[in-house]
Amino acid sequence: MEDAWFQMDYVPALAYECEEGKDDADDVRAVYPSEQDMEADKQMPKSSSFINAFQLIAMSQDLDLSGLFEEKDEVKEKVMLVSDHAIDDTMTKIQAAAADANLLAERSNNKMKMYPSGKLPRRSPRSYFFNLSAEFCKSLSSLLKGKLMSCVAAQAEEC
Amino acid sequence: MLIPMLPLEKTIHALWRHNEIGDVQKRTYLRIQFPGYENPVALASETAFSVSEVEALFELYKSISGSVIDDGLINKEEFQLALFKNQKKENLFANRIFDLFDVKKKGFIDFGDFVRSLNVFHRNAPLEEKIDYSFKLYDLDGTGFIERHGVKQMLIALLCESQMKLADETVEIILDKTFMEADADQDGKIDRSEWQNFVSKYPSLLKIMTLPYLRDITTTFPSFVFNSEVDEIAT
Repeated sequence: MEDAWFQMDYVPALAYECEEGKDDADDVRAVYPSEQDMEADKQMPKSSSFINAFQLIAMSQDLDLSGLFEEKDEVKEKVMLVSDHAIDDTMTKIQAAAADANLLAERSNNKMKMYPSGKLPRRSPRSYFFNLSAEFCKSLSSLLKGKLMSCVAAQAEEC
Repeated sequence: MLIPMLPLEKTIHALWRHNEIGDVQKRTYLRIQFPGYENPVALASETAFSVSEVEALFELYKSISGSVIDDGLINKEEFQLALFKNQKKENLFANRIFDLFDVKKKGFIDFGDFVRSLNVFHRNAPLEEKIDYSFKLYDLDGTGFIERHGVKQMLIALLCESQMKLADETVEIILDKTFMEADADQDGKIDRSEWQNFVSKYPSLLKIMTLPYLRDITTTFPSFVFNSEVDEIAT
């Protein structure tokens, strides 16, 4: 574990737990292929990072039946963002936006996980995460330069 | 025995608990109030749910089915209300799912339909059932095939819902690529076996077919405890 190889890209785990399966809201997936990808695609079979129609459709919140199990006041709002930039560019921007909002963004393949960086205040109220998310959204939308529609508060999770 | 002024159902249950009425009477009452009601023990044996879980689902079912019209059945409006907290919100996906839940094609969902449909979304439901269900979900016109214009409709619905903007051309490219890969015999539509192959290549497509919430259902609806039949079985 001391070997340098293990230290690369290592983000220390933070001292709290997130409920399993509730981090979907923090995954922001870039779906828009880059210009170069598009060109290449015309000549070659698709690159593995190209999303197919069903993957897109599966992102629909309207196909998510978990609403059946939620109380009225727990309605969660999810935001889907589209970026004109290539995947790597977008990922970098997400990380930058995260840093602005005091969040740590951890990338694995084409997924991102985000955690508040540093120590959490004890018994963080929902509003704490709400504010973090709002800050992140603002930062990201300015980095992506306004291709975003209105950025509503992302899902605020109690961890 | 003094019976306090409780809602009818609680009264029935209290009488049952005190052996004033038997199982038959209790079930008869439930079947009248909730057409299509089935014994939780029977439903549990046919599905991946435990008896407690079916009972918890009944609590959920009661609240959904009584939300607009108190007839013990879930109609389209009540389904939309439960899903979106907004009974007016109608859309392609919700309609499709409602149609699939409405197994007997009567325009409403009864308790048996409810439990059996949710069963497909259970973690332990067979993969085959999930593949089947997702195929039917995307087969918008019920032709037995997933057709390109249907997929396009769904893509557009998704873009509207999320206020994402993609150029028409891009949508066409995405469709082309998807069908190029999924439609093995290139007949312009995806049949059941092509879907099966496609899904085994992209297993994440079936993520929507599993509801993690089903795991917690007995803690989400604890009121089932007061109506539980589980004790009865144990004795």
